[in-house]
Amino acid sequence: MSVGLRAVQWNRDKVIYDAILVGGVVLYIGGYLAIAWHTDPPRTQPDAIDLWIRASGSCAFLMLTIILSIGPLARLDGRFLKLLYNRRHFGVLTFLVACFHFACLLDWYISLQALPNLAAELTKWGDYTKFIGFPFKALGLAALLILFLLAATSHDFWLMFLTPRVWKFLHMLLYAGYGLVVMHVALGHMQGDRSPLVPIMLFASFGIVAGLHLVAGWRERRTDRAAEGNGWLAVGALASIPDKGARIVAAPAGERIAVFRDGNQIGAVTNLCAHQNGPLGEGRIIDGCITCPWHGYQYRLADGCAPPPFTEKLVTYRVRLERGIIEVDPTPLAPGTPAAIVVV
Amino acid sequence: MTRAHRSLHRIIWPILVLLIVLGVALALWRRPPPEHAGAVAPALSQERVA
Repeated sequence: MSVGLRAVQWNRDKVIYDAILVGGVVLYIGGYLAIAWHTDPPRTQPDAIDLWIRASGSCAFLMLTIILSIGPLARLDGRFLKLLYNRRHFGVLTFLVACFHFACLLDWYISLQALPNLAAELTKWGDYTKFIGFPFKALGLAALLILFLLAATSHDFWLMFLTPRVWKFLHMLLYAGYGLVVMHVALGHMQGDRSPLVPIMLFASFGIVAGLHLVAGWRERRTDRAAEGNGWLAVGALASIPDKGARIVAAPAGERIAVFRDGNQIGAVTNLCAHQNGPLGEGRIIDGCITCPWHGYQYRLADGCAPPPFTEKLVTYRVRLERGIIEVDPTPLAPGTPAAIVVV
Repeated sequence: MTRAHRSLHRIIWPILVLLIVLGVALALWRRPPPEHAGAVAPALSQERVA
């Protein structure tokens, strides 16, 4: 929650997260260079720069693979939510590593005094009709542009300006970016390197990311099936809603509704957090407030309003107890409307 | 995530998997043989330097 614009809202957890990220990048690139230098020392300056290109490129690819795995992993197992908390910093750092990869490439051309050849490669239009021989650097550049767009709009200002819905659609461009990077490697490095390591790495990385997304998407289909009933939807017996937790029901042709219980108080709010559309129903009630599992945004159960001084409000829903069964009216109320009930 | 985001996810990933697996497999299958790749590499670097 924020009450004013700040460049980065640092806290201890974010500092630790970022320190681990930066440390990991330094260790990876340093380790790559040390091993490569030891096994096959570069003879010329361009050879040395080439090692930096490979080290930074493979680092950025690995980081992208991890970033894209975090979302579905967190949906499949709550223990991965910790990684999701500061994923945007992870993304920005990946963009910086990709920029460094590009800078090393430019340096390679400059060291050979052949910079115009890069422009010539990228503007050899006939090559764009080939498969083998396609200007793979253009694929890398397109991916870099996508990473730039996502890094530039990663701040909460853009999230609020664009609305979480549009922002999320925009940031799904990363999937296309990852595909471009995979093909950048397949049509570039893999064509000259006969080692089986490159195709294995490509198939394994992409396989893990795609497999996780497909499995997570498949599992969520069940939750998206709308509950049956005309008007009020049955949620379940009071005891079926975990104390300080929620059960999620899908409204017909609508969004998911999170029905929370806090002792004998029952309240229903949209499952979408006002911040980044995180799954509120997978969160807990902490200090009397519904707490989003993604970034800890909080809302009162009674009316869906964030506690002062914060101003976010959630859509709420009417609930009732009928013959021992909690039911929810899928017609959304205006954000911030008190609708929770106390069950005696 | 909204229902629309989840629906888009479910459409995008199978398409992406199909395209990428085909693309990488084709790139692997059509990659030039080692002796050819070796012959091409110096020519390319000379061309770059020129």
